[in-house]
This record gives sequence, structure tokens and C-alpha cells, in this order.
Amino acid sequence: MSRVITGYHTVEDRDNADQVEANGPFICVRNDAWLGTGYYFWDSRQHWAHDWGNKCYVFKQKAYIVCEAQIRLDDRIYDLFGDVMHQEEFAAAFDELDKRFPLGKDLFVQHVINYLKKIGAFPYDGIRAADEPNDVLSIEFGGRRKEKMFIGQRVQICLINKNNLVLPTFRIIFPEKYVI
Amino acid sequence: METPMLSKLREVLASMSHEDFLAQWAEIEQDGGGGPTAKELIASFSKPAIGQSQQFQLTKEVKDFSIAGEYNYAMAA
Repeated sequence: MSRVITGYHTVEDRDNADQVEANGPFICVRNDAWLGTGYYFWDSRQHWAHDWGNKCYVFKQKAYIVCEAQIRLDDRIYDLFGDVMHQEEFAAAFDELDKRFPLGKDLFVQHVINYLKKIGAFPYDGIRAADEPNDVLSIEFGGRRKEKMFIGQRVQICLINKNNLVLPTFRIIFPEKYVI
Repeated sequence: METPMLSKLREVLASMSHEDFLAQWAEIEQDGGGGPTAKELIASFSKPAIGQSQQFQLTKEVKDFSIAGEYNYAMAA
């Protein structure tokens, strides 16, 4: 099954809007990028991109730009948020590594993914996953029920390449002075 | 569970010595690291770890909200 969503991409505003629009999205090569190297987008909810801009740039007296693009979610995306089978598969892959060659330390998510890529076992063009920002809420079902429903998990998409990016939909949407 | 990914992983690991694996893993780690661990992510699929929730009253209508713990996976991205 395939569908198209809008992804939001935050970058520093270096007064180079033309360059951003012409060359974006930009690959994140930070060595602590949690899903590995790739083009990071916030899934569908624009305010996550602004939160990120405030946290990373405004906090440091810098400005930021938010861009949007259409992203195709299909079976080329490893969906660790919305696909339980992928979650189970990731857990099984971790177990295989941990049991076969225990390293005696915790393995970062990005390292597991990078290892799967390295050995040619990761047949995907992107990864979708959620984190739990500080303002995630949970509602208890109540009564005798112990279950909770979580609200506000942020969903990110890390595109390993641009195959699932619907071109040419990448454009600046913030700040308004750059919007054509 | 049997998937192409897992089959390939098992095949590679089965044909590899411990030393070869350690060498490969060292290459993976030399690029740095950070963010959540695989165990933390897998735990998040089911429920938050015990002790990482704080309860507080939000409204009369919806009781027992809680704020999740200090995880912030996206800090790494």
C-alpha cells in the first residue's frame, strides 16, 4: 500500500533561501543522527519542525527555515512507527546480533541499522520512527483497565536516498518572507 | 520469524568469525554514535519503562494523564 504525506524539514536560515530551495533537502551526516545518515523530515505535523528550529537555532540566536515536501510512504520505507511487523523484525534482528555475537554493551539504533545496511540486509530507502518528546501525554483507559493511550509522539522519516521524495515538491514554507 | 532481512543477517552472521564481526562492528562505531539504544527503541514499541511516567490531574473529564519520561530520541537528529 502506498500513500503520500507531507514532510517538514528544518534547516538553519543563512540568508540563502534560493540555495535551500534549489538544493534541499539536505542530508544529515551528524554522527549521532539516531536513524543514521539521511534526509530527515517531520511527518505531517508542521509544528514539530518549528519546535526543532526553536530548539536548535533560535536558542542559539540563529534563525531557521522550514521546508515541506511530499513523501511517498510505501513498502520501501521501514516503518518502525506504524508497522508492527517491522517492529518485530527489528527486535528479531537485534536479538540475532546480540545472541550470536554479544558485545556486552548497548547497541545504538543507528549502529544496528548501519550494520544491516553494510551487509546488504536492509532493502529500504527510508525509515519512519517516533520519539517521545517531553510533552507526550498518556491517557489511562480508566476503570479496571490498566492500558494507556499515548498522544503526541513525534514521527520522523529519515530518507536514505531521494527515491521516495516526490519531486519537485520541495519548497520553503517558513519564514513568510521567503515564500513565493 | 523469517523475512529476507533476517535471512540475510543470519546467513552473514553464520559465515563469520567472532573476530571478523568485531572488526566490522568497530568500523560501524568509528563513525560515532548516539541517540537511543536498540533496547530502548524496542521497549518503546510496547510501553514506557517503569518509573518513567509522572501522574498529574489535567481535567475533570479526562483523568490520570501523565507525562512520559525524558526520552527525546530526535535530539540526535
